[in-house]
Amino acid sequence: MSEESINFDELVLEHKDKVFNLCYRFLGNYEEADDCAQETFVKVYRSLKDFRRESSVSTWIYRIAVNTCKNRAASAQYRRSRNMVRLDEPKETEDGARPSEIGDDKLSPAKEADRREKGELIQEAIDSLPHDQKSVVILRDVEGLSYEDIAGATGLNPGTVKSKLSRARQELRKRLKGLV
Amino acid sequence: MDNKDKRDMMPEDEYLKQMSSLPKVKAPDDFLRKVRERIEKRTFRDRMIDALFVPFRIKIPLEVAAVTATLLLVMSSLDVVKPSKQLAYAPKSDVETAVIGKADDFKSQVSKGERITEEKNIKFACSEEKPATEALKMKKAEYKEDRLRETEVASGCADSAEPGLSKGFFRADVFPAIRGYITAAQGAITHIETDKNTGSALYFDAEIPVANYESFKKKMEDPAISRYIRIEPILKEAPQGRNIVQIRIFMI
Repeated sequence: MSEESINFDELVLEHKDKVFNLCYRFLGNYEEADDCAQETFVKVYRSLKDFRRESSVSTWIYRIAVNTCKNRAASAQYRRSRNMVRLDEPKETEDGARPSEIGDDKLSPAKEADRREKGELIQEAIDSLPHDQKSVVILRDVEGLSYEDIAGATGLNPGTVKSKLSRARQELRKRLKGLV
Repeated sequence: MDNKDKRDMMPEDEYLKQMSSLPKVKAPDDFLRKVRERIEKRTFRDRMIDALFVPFRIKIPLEVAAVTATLLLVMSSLDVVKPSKQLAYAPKSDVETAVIGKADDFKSQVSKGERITEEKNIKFACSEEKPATEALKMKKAEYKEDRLRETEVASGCADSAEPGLSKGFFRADVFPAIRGYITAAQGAITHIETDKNTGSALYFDAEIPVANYESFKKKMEDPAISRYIRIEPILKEAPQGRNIVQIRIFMI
């Protein structure tokens, strides 16, 4: 195995959960998120030799992930699959298992169910946002990136990032009022 | 944003708390393997595309072949390759001189000293076309043939060169014929002016005995001969005691 492939494997292992979570929050579907995250790392592999280190590796990977998610969300196939799945149904994997989440093992089953329900409501609200606002709000409020990193990952300037984030938050706060 | 709007929204700190508490969805355990499989699959597909669009080492000969084929096509359309086709587009007069006949037949007859008539030439012309270079050789052979017949007449074979005034009488036959008639009239050629380049006669002076001049003149009036010559008397005093007519015959 070459040095490049070892580095790539390390890269995947280091960033796969963040990228997967971003894809899941963006697309709202576990299967789509899995496919989209894989596609992201295939693109990373193919572009690795052209990476000029103008930004950090994680920002670069996020940027590829955001673009891949936007393309996927705009595809006709994705829209058809979204129409077939009701958003209030619990999201399951192909074999019927629930997607694994990093939860608090000490929570009681009742609290765990409540937390899961809240999560689904928030996800539904995120799904309703336009793509640009969605990517900004996920990167900032879910992933915790800085404005500069978000600007690097989305290709927007920091001022635009802030304004889009402000509008996205207002929209989400309106939608989540009284639900959560 | 006024107070009414704020009342309709979730408090910001509550919002941030909810968002940050969203569960993190983990990638499957076999995620790396799936990515690797996908990369291998892609690489194989790329290899297939490369194979379809021909690798570099084969591409160059293909390009050369394409250029060669194009050049051949252009050359064939311009008739550069086949000179015989150029003949077909040549002016009519050129074709007439170029299309002579079978070279072997012609040469063999020339070498035998056989007489070539116009009929034979026409026959040869119909039998096969020859390229322009071949035609040039034929013209040279024709010239040699003329010289040969002149030699025959001069060497006493004038009878065989009797023109007979047939339609197969050429310009080249004129000089030997006149020479024969002069000899027959017991006359003599006193001077021949020839073309320095071709060696053919431009005009010649002759002396004909008066007694034979009328019969000689009649023979010269034959259209087969007269169309090629112009006879003028030479205005100089005849030698004493000799009954002769001095004439100059121009080849036209």
